Order: sequence, then structure tokens, then C-alpha cells
Amino acid sequence: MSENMDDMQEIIQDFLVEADELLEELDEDLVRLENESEDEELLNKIFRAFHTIKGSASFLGFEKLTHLTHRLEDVLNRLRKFEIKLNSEMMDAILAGVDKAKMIIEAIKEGSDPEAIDIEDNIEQLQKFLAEDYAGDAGQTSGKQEVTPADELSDEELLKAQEEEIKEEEAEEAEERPKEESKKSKDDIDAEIERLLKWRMEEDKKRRMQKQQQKKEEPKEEESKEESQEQTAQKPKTQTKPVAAKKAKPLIEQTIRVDVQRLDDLMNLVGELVLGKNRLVSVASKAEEKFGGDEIVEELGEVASQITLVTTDLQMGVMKTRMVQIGKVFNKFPRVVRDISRELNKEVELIIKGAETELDKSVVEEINDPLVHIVRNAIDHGIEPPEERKKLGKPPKGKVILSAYHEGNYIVIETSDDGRGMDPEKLKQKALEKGLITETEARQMSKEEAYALIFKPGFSTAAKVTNISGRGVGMDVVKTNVEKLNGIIEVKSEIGKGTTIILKIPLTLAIIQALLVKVTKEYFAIPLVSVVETVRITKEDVNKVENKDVLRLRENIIPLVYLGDTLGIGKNKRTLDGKEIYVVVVAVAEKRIGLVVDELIGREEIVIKSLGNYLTNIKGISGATIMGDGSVTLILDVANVINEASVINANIEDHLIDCYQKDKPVVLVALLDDEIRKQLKNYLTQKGYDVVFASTDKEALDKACEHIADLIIVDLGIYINDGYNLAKTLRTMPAYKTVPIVALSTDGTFDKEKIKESKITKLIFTPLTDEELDEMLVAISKKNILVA
Amino acid sequence: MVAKDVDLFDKSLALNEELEEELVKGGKKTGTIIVKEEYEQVVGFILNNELYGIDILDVEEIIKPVDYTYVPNTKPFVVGVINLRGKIIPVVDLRLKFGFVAKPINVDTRIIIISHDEYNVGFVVDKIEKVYYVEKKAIEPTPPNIPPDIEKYVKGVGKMPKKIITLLNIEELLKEGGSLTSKTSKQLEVVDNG
Repeated sequence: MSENMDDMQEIIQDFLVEADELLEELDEDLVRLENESEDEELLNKIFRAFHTIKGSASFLGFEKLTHLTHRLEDVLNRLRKFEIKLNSEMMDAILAGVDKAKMIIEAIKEGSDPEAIDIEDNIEQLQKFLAEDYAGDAGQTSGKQEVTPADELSDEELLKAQEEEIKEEEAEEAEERPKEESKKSKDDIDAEIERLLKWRMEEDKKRRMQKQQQKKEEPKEEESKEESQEQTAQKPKTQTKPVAAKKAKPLIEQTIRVDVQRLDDLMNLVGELVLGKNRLVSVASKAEEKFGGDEIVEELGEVASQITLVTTDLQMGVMKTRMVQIGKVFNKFPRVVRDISRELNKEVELIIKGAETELDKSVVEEINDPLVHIVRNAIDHGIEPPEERKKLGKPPKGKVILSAYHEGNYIVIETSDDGRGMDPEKLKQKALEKGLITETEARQMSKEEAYALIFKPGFSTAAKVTNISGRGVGMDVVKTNVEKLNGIIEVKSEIGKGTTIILKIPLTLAIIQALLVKVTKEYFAIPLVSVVETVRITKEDVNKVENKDVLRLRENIIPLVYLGDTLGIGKNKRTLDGKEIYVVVVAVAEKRIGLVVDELIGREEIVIKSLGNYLTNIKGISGATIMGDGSVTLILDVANVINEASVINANIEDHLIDCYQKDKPVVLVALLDDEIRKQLKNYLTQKGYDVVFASTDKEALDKACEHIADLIIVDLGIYINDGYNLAKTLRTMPAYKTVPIVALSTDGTFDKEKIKESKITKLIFTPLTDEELDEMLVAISKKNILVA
Repeated sequence: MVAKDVDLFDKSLALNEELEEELVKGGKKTGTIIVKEEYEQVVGFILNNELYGIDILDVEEIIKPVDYTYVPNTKPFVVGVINLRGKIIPVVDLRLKFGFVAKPINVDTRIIIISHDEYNVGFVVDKIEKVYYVEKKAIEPTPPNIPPDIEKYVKGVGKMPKKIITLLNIEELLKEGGSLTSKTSKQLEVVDNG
């Protein structure tokens, strides 16, 4: 019993997937049909879709759905026989019917009662077109319209061919219906659909053959017909070119449905592999450094590069399995545009370009909503009403272009309209009225910044709130979603010419390119997609606006902020060399900012890992990754960092080494032992030093950023990584390139090689005597004396 | 492994001196069958000179201190994150969590890696003792002299022949999380709006 139920459930699941696809296609096909109401192939296709859904629905016992699709099928049947002619009223009714069907499907999915949905209105609407007397101006008129240049002979021929075909179909269908009902018992619905499709395919083929034969027989007449067909075909081509291309071979396509979870798992494994590869490469290069020239090392290097190659390919391969065409999103838009433009009484033509561009499935899901809002805005605010357009000398029909293309590791999605464009002054005025910005802010705003105002929540230029837009929510949604994807928004506009909104979004979310930077003692990875450029400046380049640091970069003014401050780790840290300040200009959505960092480390491919359940929603951090050397590096949440930056009061000069003031020379002692600490403290204070203690290497590095020490004493055995490594790290910091570092060995052991490598100035041993310490101070006064 | 599937007599018990002692004291002969369900097996560790215990089933492993990465905007007791064979694990200093004075890492310092439900967290402790068997009957509710901010993390106090052990409530310890999300962000928002 329960097995039967499971079977049934499975069949219903299959049906739902199928129906979803069919309905989705129906949307675009119907909109296409509006322009090419005589395309019999299209008519047949739509008819078939309704027929399929009806068949399955009745088999599964969804009465309302059956009833509704049956009516739709009837209307389509009349249409394809050219008994009635399609008009916009009819199209509205059909579309409404499709929407209702979607609602029913949705209800089935959610487990609520699909029979509870009221379909009476739709049935009534549709019934109207089924009345005998509705025929009015039937097929012939439309036929003439369509095939104007063709002569009568071919016209007649065409009709004949159509009639034959329809007869054939009807015969077949008459056969089918009773079969279907009898089959209800326990047949798989899939097989039934398959059979139907196969039959259709053959049918299509047959017809094509027929036409070709005709062509051979009457080449002259055909030529003119072909021409006209081409003409009509060209119109849709520009409009839905990729769709048509996709449609051409959907039945031969060899595909396999895979659970997304499995692909995700695979992606995770590849992520681990990439980490392993990174590690292998770093080990190989270390081995090369240490035992260069050795045969085995060379072999290791070879293996490493081989693995690198294969891993990259594998990564690409797995990524590709997750890729879907953006057409999946774009194809909904003809319908969206149609609905909105009709509601607003505007004429809009939608042009789709690059629908075959592929991107990750997870990204596709997030991109739909923002695009709907952008397109809506373009039609509502951008495109002028037809009369106004005529006055301006523009064609009455407005144009919205939706295009997608790849650019490096990003996908770029552009939405442009040829409407009235945006006036930065008006935007500023509006924002001022709403209290979103202050007057001074308005005055300093560049054109780009003014455009960015449209993304502020609560901002709307619409005079009144309409059904479609004006509540000032839409663009905020765009911003949030794009931010979530780590994307960038750019706005270009010209008054009277139109507006273009450009979304730049990373292709995939799991493995990304990142720029590694260092600030204080920490390393961070900034997703490369957010990085606009990196620049090196000096402290003289830092300007001030209302006591906030800004950088003039070409014609733009970019706010500057110390990365450490935005993360709350910058307090009292002095790590910047005024002669060489590194700035990473980052952008998220519409905002741009310059992050000041201590060092730029380089570019790295990283795998995003979560920090787990214990550390969730950390401000400024979106995740972590494991580097080639096994250490953990945090990934910046650039959107959050940018937001944080606006409330920071610290200035760049607070972090400059050269602005540090001290009364006495400072000694930093990284040492755990209390006895030796006491001894050193006594001795060094006597000699006029300030002493700062640190008990681990981490603490020592922190202290080294806070106090610019004139002498550093490190215990070689300090936790967590030994004193050699601490000294090595200190040497990489601009403030400690030449400061004397004294190593202290508490057990008499030391590694000569490592001491040299980490540029330790002098080595001393416990127990310490005052003479020894005196000697030390003398030695360090002569710079760069290494213990040899 | 479900407890019931386990062999009721665990040979390793015989090596536990204290338990042996206890058994002798209780008049039982050593080597007799011990019903495992009557005992709780805990990993004992020292923190601020006191003995604490964590249920052994929650302990994944114990490691020596390794290099960690500091995570900004976390509560002060979060030391940072470490890489444990490809897994990123947050590390919490239990001393700071319990409000004791911080103590620098030394030779005895260990990190207990906890795996409980969906959580993986490392706890820094002063020193690992050993695995103790605490008789369930001998576990008493938290005594009132334990400071209130630690109290909620304590499941009970186990009495053993020679010493007592404070048993920690892992669930409670992990639940709060280590992210700083509460006050500061809201305050900033208010400032922003104003």
C-alpha cells in the first residue's frame, strides 16, 4: 500500500517538474505568439503543451487543472485551425489561465488543496472564445497579413498542407484519448509523455520533408514564400534569438537530471582538492628552495604542476556542471515586459542578448529578483509614454535591452533603456527632500554618487506610488541581492538618451580569486571581484573632507579608511610607512572605498569555508580559507566593511609610524619566565628604557604594532611558534627592518642557520649577568652586527 | 555506538586505580562485572587549579596548542580559529569564558576539541588530567558557592573517592556562540540613522 503511495508520489513529482517546465516555456511562447500569431508551429507547440498538462492532470486526478487546461487547449485548437484570430483580450485570458494553472501547481507542491482554487472566472473568460459566433474575422485575413508578398497559389498550398496536418493530428488524438483513460490504471505518465513527444518529432520531420519536396517541385513560388517566412522569422530572431536556437534541438539533447546536493558535494570535494593542491605547490617550492637541484625535488615539482593542471581542469569541469544559461532567467522577461508595458500604456520592445551565457545555478536563483526590479524601473521611470516619445523625435516604441556576457571570472548583466535618463541634480534634490543626505553632501556629490542614491532604501523619484514602482523598495532589493553575491553595480545615464544599469557578478561562489593583504599582524583575503584597483600613495596624497580621509584618484574622490579600523583591530596600531601607503580600492554594489593596508601579499585562489555554527554572522568576515601553508586566512565581507567604514572616526595618520611619539626608548621583551622578566625590567629601566612585555609571539606582534620599539628581546622558546619565526615576522614589518633583535636562549641551545635567516642581531644566554647585558647594549648600538 | 551494544565489562576499567579503590571500598571484588550505565566517563582537566570534566562522548580529540588566526569582532574569550585537518575550528579560552585571569600558554596547555551536535569548538585548558569514571549516583547538583556566571555551564559536581570534579554542560557552553552581534551593531545603526 505504502509503496503504491510512494510510486504515486513519484509520479506526481515528475509531473510537477514537467508541468513547471512546460508552463515556463508557455509564458515565452505565448508572448512570442502575440507578435507572430500565425506561426502554426508555435501554435501547435502551445497546443501540445496544454494537451500534455491536461492529460497528466486528468490521469492524476487534478480536476480543476484538467478543466482549466482543457479549455485553454480548446481555445488554442481553434486558434491553430485559424477559426478565430488572436487578439490581446484573448491573450490576456490565456495568460491569466496559465497563471492560474501555475497557482494550482504551486498549491500541489505546497501540499494544499489544489481543488480549492477558484477557476470559474478563467473558464468563463475562455468560454467566450469558444462560442461559435466568436469567429468574426477568422484565418484568411490573418493569412493575408502574414504572407503578403506571396502569390495566391502558394497561399492556398500552405493552407492545404495545414489542413492535412490538422486532420492527421485530430485522427491521432481521437485515438489517443480513450487510450489514455483506459490506461489510468498503473501506467507511468512519463512514458506517455515521451511517446507523445516522439510522435510529434516525427510529425515535424515529416512536415519538413514535405515542405522540402514542395520546394523542389515549385522552386519559383517557394522562393517568394521563403522570403516572407524569413521576414517574419527575423523579427522574433532579434527578440528571442537564443530561445529559438535553444528550441531547435531540445529533443535530441542528451541530458541527465542530477540532484543539486550531489553537485554541491562534488564541488566541496573539489574545494578540498584545490586546498591540497595549493599545499602541495607550496611544499614543492619550499623543497626547491632548500634542496634545489636534487632529482627528487625536480620530480616533485613536476608532479605538483601536473596536479595543478588537472585540478584546474577538474574544477572547471565541476563548475560547468553547475552552470545554467542565464536564458533561464531572461526568458521570463518578455512576459514581464509585456505585462508592465500594457499596464502603463507604454510600448516597449525587449531585446535579449547573450541568453546562452552561463553562470552558477546558485547565482541564477539570486539574480532574478533584482533584474525584475531593474526592468520594471526602466519601463516605469525610464521609457516615456508614446506621445511624449513622438514629440521628442524618438520612435514611439521604447527599447529595453537585456544583455549578458562573460568578462574574466565575472558575468556582466546590462539592462539599458532608451528612455529619459536620470538627472543627477534632480536625484540630489529628491534625496535632500527625503532627508537622506545633507546639503553639504549633496554639493560634493559626483554624478556617479548621485546615481547611487537610487539604491538607498526609501528613495523614489516617482511622483506617485503605482502598482509597479514608486515605493522606493525595488532598487534596495537589487542592492541587497547583488551585495549578497559580492557583485558590483554600475549606473550610466544620459539625460534624454537612457540609462544603463550594469551588474557584475562572480561566476561561482565556492572557489574564488582573492587578493591577500596584511594589516597589523593579520592576513585577510579580499575577493578579487570586489577589488577595483590597488594604488600606492604617500601620506601627502591623503586629503581631508570634514576630517575624513579621502583620496583623489583621477577624477574620483574616494573615502580612505584603515582596514584595521573597520574590523576593530586597528586601535593604537602603527604600521604604516608614510612614504609607501598601499590602498585597495574596493567596490560593492554601488559603493566604492579605499582600504588602507600594511602590505599587499598577492593573488590566490581560495576555497570559501564557513567558520561553523559557533561563529556566525561575524561583522566584516564572510568566511575563511586554508592557505598553502595550512594556516587559516579570513575572507573579508567587503559590503560589511564598507558600511562599517562610514562610522569610523580614526584617521590614517593615527597609524603612521613616523607620527609615533615617545619620551624614552622602548624595549619589547617577548618572554614568559617571570624571574628573567624581573631581572630585565630592573636592568633596562635603570638604563633609561621603557619595557613592554609579551608572553606569546602573537602578543609580541600586537605590541610591536602599538609601540615602536627600539630594541626587541625574544625568547627563542616562546610559544606558539618559536622566537626565530617571531623575529622573521618582525623583520617583514616596515618599522622593524633594521631595529636590533636580540635572541635569548634559556636552555643553551640555538640553531645558527635559523638565527642568520631571521636576521637576529645578537644572541644571549641565561643566566644573564649585568656584564653580558652591557655587552649586548654596546653591540646593538653598532647596527646590523650579526652573531656569526 | 549505542551504550547498550557495548560489552558490559570494559577491561580498561581495571586500569583505573581510583575506581579499583572505590570498588574495594564498596566491598566489591575487583574484576567483577561493572554495569557501564552506572558510570559517566569524563575527560578531566585542570582550569585555574580546579578539576573539571567533559563527557567523553563530546570530546573528539586533544591537541597541543597550534598557531591560530585571530577573528575580529568576536567575544573576548574567542582566541581565534585553527585548521584541524582541513576543518576550521574556533578556539575558546575557557579561563576567559569563566572569568578567570588569563594565563599564557605553557608546556601543559592543551586544546580539547569538542564535537557536539553541529558544533565543533576547541577549548583551551591549563592541563589535561585523565579519563575519570564518575558514578552517576555520586553526581550532585551544582553547589551554591559556584559563581553565578559559571553556574549555568555546570551540570553537576561528581564526588570521587579522593577529589571532586565539576562536570560541564557542553550544550550551554556552545549555545551562546562567539560572535559579537548584539549591542554594538545596533548602537551603530542608531547613530547612523540619527
